[in-house]
Amino acid sequence: MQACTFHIGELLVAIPTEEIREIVLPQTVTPLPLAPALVRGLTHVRGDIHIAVYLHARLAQSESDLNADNCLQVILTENHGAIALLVDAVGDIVDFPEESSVFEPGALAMKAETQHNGEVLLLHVANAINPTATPGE
Amino acid sequence: MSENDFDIREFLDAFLTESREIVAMLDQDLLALESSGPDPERVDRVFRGLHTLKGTSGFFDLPILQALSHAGEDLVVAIRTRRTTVDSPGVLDSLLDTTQGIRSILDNLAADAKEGVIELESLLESLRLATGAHAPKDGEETDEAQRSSTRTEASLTSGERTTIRVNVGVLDELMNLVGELVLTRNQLMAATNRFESNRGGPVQKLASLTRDLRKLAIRARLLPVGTLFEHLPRVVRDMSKACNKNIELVCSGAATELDRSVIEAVQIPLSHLIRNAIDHGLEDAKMRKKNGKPAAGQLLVSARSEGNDVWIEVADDGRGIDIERVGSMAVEADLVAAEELKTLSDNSILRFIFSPGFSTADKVTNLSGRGMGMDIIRTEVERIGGAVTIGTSPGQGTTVSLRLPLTVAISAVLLVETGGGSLALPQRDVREILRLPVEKREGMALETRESGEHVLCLGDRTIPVIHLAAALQPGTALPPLEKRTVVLVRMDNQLVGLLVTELVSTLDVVVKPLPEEWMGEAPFTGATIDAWGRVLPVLDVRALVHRIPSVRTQERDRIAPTKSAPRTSVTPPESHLLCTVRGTTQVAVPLTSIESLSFINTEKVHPAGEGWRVARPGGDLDLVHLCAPSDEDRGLSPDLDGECCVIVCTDGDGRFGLLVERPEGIIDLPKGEEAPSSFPASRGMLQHDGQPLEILHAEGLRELREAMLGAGD
Repeated sequence: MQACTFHIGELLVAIPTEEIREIVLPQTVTPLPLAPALVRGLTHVRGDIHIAVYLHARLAQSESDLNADNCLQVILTENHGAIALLVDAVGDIVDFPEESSVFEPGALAMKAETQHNGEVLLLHVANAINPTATPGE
Repeated sequence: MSENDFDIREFLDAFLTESREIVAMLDQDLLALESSGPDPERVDRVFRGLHTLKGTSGFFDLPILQALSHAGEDLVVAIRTRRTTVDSPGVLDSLLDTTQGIRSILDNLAADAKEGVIELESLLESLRLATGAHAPKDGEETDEAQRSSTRTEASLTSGERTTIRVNVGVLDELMNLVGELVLTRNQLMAATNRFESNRGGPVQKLASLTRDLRKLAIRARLLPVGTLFEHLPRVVRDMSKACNKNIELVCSGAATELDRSVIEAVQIPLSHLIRNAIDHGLEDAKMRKKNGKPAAGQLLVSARSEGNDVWIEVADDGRGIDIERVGSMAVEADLVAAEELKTLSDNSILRFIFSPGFSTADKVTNLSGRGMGMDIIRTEVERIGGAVTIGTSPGQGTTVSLRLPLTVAISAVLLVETGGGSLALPQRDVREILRLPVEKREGMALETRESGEHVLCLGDRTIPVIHLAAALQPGTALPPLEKRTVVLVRMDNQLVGLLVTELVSTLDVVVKPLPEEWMGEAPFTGATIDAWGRVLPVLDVRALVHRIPSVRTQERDRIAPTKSAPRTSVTPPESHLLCTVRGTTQVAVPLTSIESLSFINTEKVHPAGEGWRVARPGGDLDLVHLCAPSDEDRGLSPDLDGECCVIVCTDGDGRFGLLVERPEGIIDLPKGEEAPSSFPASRGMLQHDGQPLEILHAEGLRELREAMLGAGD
């Protein structure tokens, strides 16, 4: 299985390439007051409005500060809804052995060994961006 | 096999659409036969309609529909062969029952592709009775049928094909794409704006093409209001029979066009308004005679378009609404304190009819009825961005006006700067805009209470004010606002102020919904993209107010447009643009007369004749300053340095600009409460927030233009 790695704060996170539609250069994110903490605001890609989500707090269980306008945006495939994941930088394309993508039920991510690039945090996209999931678990 | 099924279903949709049209036409013709007597041409049309239904129902294997339309056709054959007449007892009634039966079969088919259960036997029996003892012989019937079907075909081929059926989904998609195109155009224009050389170039061309395309895309979705009126005669007929009242229905403006989705949304509210009018508004014949009115109650349903709005009015000449009774009802229902009631104007009291608690007590109000209260009608109409107003005159009748947007795809928003970011407010929620400080206006002040809540005091009324930036970012220390503007928004029967720094502009936008699961507590209905590609959240005023308990429970709005409101007839208010002309002189210009509003540099304004003139791309525009220029003003540019505002007024025949200091906001003004005035183009003067306000009207503005252009050239 192929994945692309991204830097989210100090974390190195891998997202399966088949769940990524495109990666967009930094652009303005309009804050959405009173929205869940995960939501950094609204952004748009060619007229389609997306929810900009920064996963650091959820994955690292620590507060993070960022300027969302400086983040690259990973636009997920449409089955995930109109979501733009905010990331600080793009890493590499990595390969996983097939059997490594077995998640525990409800897991947001898990540590997984890549074929050539060592250990990274492999994201379970659907769980990680589930707005109703309890943060931190 | 499965492919076959699919085909049938596709045909079934077309069949349902066509059959519904036939049934609507049958109803029309039958009702016309009932009201204006025998007419062979109409009888022929009814025959052809039923015959077509019979034929196609055979094709689709729908035995109940076939039997019913066959029996109906037999009865019409009996009329055509003079074995019975349309005015024989039971003939039209049974035919109308037949169309009702056919309609419920069609509804059942639409729901689950089955004919469902209807009272077929009793319908058939009444048709048979009306047809007479002997059923027609087979040969007779076939002859008739053949004759008519050839005629039908002939009329079809001779008619020129100028329309085609288009799937609504295609039109919706077209509208979406045009919406995107508008946004892209706005972004492109903003991006190329710095290159002056682009003026008149391809970007401008693209802009005007996009505008035309958008107009066309909106138009393609429009249907004549007539499609909404089609089923009204039926409602009136059934209701008048049920209430035993004689009703004369007049529909006007059927050619007025309205978006399909708007028509669908108001269909049910409109028939309930009609029912209310017949059930509660119109008196019975005896009572009417006593009051010197014609025996038949008059019910006028009219439609007209004004700018981007369409008005549909339901007017009856019945007994009117007892305002005092509504008031005491409101006190009983705990909507208002008895003390407070005395300070309210008739308009404000009438508005209680739209309160949710009001409709349930149907034994007392003379407007509630039949399962759909006025509050639900209001909710339905407001859901699509419209508004309901009501006017009544005791003993002379009641008029309910629905103001509807031409289309729901594009809505107007007011862009505001909150001090913590920009956001959009739906224009339909905005009632009034006040710039602060307002010491010029008597008795008006923004006060901060000890608890930190803001209230706006206007004379004797207090309006809760929400500091928008603080409400949206609780717990954040915000710098004090440099400028302060209060936007008054209405929700339910309450006015609420939103404190912002300033207004940026008004925009026509496509509002896109936001996924609810991601919204949490965020009080937004959707978002839109402005010309610079920024995403703007659109505020859900209701959700915001519900977050703030202190506002929710504060006093209700007590608007009294004028204290001395005479307790006579009340007509629905009209929307005006409130502007400051000079100093404390304020005017209200009817929105329907305004084409556009622009800010211009006074350097570009030159004296011409009695007024001024400004050069614009589309030709020169004559300007007039309503405060007649004194001699020392002559030759000078209008009395502001740098920038002034031009309200471009039009009356269809021409346009001119009104020079004003600044626009203040949009207000609804009642008619018939103003004092006479000699101000140019004014129909009268009102006291508005302690200041005189001149209300301009369309005729006055036309006279002004004619006088000015005559003098200018």
